[in-house]
Amino acid sequence: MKADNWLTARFLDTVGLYVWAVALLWLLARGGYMLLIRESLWPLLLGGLIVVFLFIVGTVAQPAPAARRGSLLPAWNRLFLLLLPLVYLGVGGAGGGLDSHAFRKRFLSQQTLGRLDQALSEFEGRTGSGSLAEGDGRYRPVTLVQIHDALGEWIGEDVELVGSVYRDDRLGSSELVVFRFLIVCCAADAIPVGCLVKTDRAMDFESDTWVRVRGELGTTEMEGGVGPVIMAEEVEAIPPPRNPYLSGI
Amino acid sequence: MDHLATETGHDLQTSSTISRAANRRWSLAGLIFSAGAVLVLLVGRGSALIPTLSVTFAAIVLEALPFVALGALVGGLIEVFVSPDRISRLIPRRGWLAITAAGLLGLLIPVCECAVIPVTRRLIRKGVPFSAAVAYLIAGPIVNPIVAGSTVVAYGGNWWPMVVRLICGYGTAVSVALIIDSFYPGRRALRRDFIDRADADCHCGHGHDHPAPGASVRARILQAFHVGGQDFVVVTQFLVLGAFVAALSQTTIEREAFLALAETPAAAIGLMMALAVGLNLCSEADAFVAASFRATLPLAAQMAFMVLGPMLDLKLAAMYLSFVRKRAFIMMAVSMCILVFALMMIFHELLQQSAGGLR
Repeated sequence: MKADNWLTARFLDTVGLYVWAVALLWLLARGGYMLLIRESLWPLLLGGLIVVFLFIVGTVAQPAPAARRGSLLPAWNRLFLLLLPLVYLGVGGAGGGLDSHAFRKRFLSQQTLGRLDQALSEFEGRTGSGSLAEGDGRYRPVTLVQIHDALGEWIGEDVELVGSVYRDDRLGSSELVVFRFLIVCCAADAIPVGCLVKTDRAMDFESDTWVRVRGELGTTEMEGGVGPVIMAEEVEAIPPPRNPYLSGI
Repeated sequence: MDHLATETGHDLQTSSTISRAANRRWSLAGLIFSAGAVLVLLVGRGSALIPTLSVTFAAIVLEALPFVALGALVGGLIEVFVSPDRISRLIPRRGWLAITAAGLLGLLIPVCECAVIPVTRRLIRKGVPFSAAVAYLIAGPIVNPIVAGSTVVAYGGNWWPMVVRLICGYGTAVSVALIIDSFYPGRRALRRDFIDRADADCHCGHGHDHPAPGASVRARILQAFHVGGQDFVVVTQFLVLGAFVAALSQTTIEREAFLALAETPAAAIGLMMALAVGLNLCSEADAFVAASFRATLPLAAQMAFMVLGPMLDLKLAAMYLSFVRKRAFIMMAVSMCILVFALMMIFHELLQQSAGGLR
């Protein structure tokens, strides 16, 4: 690689590292990382940011070697590939986190709306899950994890639940599903968890609208099993939470 | 290119010309891939698919990136501060002993599958036998205390799934390493350009000058950061490739329809292996996803997911190919799949025969 090409290649690599360092800083400072990975993993990103910064220092401080032949194509390739996830992050509409499309793709009836599974009991899910639930006395704030964890304790209770709306053709005109995702590390391992809601206003809410539902929790037959259902007395649209996910262990 | 694998004592000048050609081809393919991915984004903008794809793609990369950076930093420090002599003194001389010992290295260096790759690349360049490196590469992300702990927690404090996972992971890794050692002894499984750069340049392959002997500690530390940074950039490009394909599969395949095919134990095990390859989960988190299938699938299928996933998935495949030859990689991948499938079928039969199975 010619000495000037070497410098250009080093410059391109440094640009890639620098852009990632800025992106990590931005995600940490703005809390945007919470749409992608678990909230409590911020130290991991901070550690990554520090190491990337050290890489930048090491690369900039490196003296140029003797002239060598070569092409700049690999350096451009590295730069474009390095920036690709950030392009998707910025342009792809990732601002709301996982949505009803992901819910449909990852939905497993026996795990989520259908037969309740002990597997979900391992997820504590209390962290960050009740922040929007502000019970007014009559209604007990509950999370989807608590419902799936110990449904028996909540049957017959007046509850208040926060989540995003999912609707499709399989649901009746007075039905919608309120769902959220449980994440362990990142959005790739997110498991959908939901609860059927019966309300006359079901058609008023589009998929991916965040709602607070108040009503009595019961059970209903669905897809060969028993699942939770809320007979809603009130359903109101609310702004999306800063952290849309429930956290696992 | 693979016919060159059998050559020994190659002419450096000729092979480095071939390496440059291969490097150009790969770079061109990478650029086309990037352009295609951007095109998908621009054309698909406004569809329901793109936000999910964007979140999943960015999430996989963001979660893995700090681990890759850490692994690259460790690799850079090894490159600058650990001499090949010291490495060769630490490695047992007998091949099988080196492999079995390397399979347990994850207990000392507990890193996930993303961090293990830059460390392994650097260890190979320092003279660690490829077969021993493979054992560490495959077993490390499973046989380590963090993964053991997360598996126990995911299964509600039950130790058995963790013990089975570690034993199967270790057994598979050592077996694959022994297979690779017999078919590709020495460094024959390594990509020619990976070897050439190590031989021709400076054992780090990045076209830079190393500090002179007796250089200050500061200069050596800066050198380690530079080497780490270069490794980070190289490995991350493969991570991005694999993560994009994985995110695309997560976004387009419906899990319910996919798992509806799991009508027999063999089908369930096979499908969960396919899911492990497609989902690209971190080995420290995958047990929670596996455990969520307890109501629907046999334990052997969940175990197949947990054993194969940290060894082989789409992003790992891309990263392996950054230094392993195509044919050797295919042999590794096929060996892993056959071994895991066979082990899990046996495990399932044992469970069926024993009263009070683990499910």
